[in-house]
Amino acid sequence: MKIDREKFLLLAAFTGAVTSGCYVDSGPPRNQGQQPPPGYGAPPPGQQPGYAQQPPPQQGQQPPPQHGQPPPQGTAQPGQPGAIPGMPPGWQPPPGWQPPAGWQPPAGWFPPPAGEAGTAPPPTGEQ
Amino acid sequence: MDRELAFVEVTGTNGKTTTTSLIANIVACAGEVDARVTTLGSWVGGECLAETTDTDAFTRCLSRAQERGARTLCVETTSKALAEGFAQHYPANVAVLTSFSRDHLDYHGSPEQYLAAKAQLFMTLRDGGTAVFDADCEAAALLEEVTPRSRRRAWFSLRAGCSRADLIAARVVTERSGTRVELAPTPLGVALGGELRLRLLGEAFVADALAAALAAHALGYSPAAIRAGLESFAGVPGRFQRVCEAPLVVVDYAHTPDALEHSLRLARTLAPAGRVLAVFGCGGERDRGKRPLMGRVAAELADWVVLTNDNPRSEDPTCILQEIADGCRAAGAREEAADALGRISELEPRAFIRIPSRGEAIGAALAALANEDVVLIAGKGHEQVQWIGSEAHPCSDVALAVQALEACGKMGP
Repeated sequence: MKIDREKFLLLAAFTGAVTSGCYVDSGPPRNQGQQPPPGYGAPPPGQQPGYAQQPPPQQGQQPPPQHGQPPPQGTAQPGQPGAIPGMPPGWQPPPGWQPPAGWQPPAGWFPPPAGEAGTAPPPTGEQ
Repeated sequence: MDRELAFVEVTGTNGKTTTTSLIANIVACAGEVDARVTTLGSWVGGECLAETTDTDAFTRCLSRAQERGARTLCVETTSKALAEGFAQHYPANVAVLTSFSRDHLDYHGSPEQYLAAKAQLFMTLRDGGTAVFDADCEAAALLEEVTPRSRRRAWFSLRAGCSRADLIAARVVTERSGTRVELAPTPLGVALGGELRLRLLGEAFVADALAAALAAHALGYSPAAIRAGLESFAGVPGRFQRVCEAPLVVVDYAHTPDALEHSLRLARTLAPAGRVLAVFGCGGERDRGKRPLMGRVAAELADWVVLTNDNPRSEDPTCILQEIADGCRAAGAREEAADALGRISELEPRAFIRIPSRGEAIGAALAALANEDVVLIAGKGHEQVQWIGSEAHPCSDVALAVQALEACGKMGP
């Protein structure tokens, strides 16, 4: 099966950003009010999920794509500092992400610690 | 329990359940409490905690594993779970990719998005962790690219000439009784004694066994425990499961073109003087694109194909069968009447028939079976129900096969 490398790298990074809670739209965050399950990987009691620490998005920012949809087009421009073509403004790489060659992260971004966003799904979701 | 639980998380299009279960068996052979979560359910120390796969079942298994003092939790992780953030919550100490091929495009939308979901497991790998990859898999190279540079990599291969793998199957011989694997003289291959004798059938399981060995080795399990765990493993229900050895009747979960191809190629090697019959269908409300592909694969690799209902769900079963039949025809197979299996020895091979009722299809195929033939009943594997509309009807391929074999007096060892 043919895989487009560049498309894969962008989608991998974007999926990581969405699932780790560092990319949200102006609506309520996913699973608002829920805490991660107890146990391994959960934040200490009282700590807010990572998405709650994100600044509100700027007016006019595009909503996040749904799973299975390509990332929004035309939001970030090639050559813009920190921008990855095809990714929305404010997008931040997930933990452990390796950027494409030549790409530099924008000033001020931080990789969120693991296990902060929402409630974990079961590992064996229906296929 | 104070000791932190190590997570081994296994993903891949095919082989997740078997690999996860193999690792758990190695843990048990090491004398530890084995804990595993798979699509078949959750177990800790031989105790089945759940046959469901929801979050509650997972967290109960996690708690029980910690109570029992387990050191390792083996977790099958699906692409859907990874796309929804499972690995961010439970990053792995060891992450394993078993295989990658077309599947679940209805959910993910594209192969790139599907692989991107699996990538989350490797991007979030914990400090000191290890990623286990198939050196023969192109997608593995992409996942290796997004794995943090500081994490270790371990590679396995089924190509004797592979130079970069840590564990290599130099030669594989499959017989109806099991599979013998000669290992190349890598350090781990030598430590394992240079050879493995698996009870499982086929190269796909060899890949799973090598992946499991590398994962267990990364966690510090001894070569003796690894070898014992691999060689004593009897298999997972519905994964190329032998219902009868002579004649050979196999129930297999293969529900992708790639998996069906592997299983049919294996069936062919096990029927050197006989015919290969494939009985399968495709699920409704799932990736439609794979239906003609599976029809084509089956028509190319089996002598006779019996198309039947899988889980049609809310779709019209007739339309699903038509889409598979289109693939059979494209591969040059001809359609015969449903009763043609009764005259199978008089007719030329490369034919397909349609029998919508799964029980009737299995019954017709097994009635036509000769001792040297192999029947592969594919698609539903371990499943115990068939979804028609919104209703679940009791349906087990193994039970249907046993019933049919007994009815025609062919139930052997």
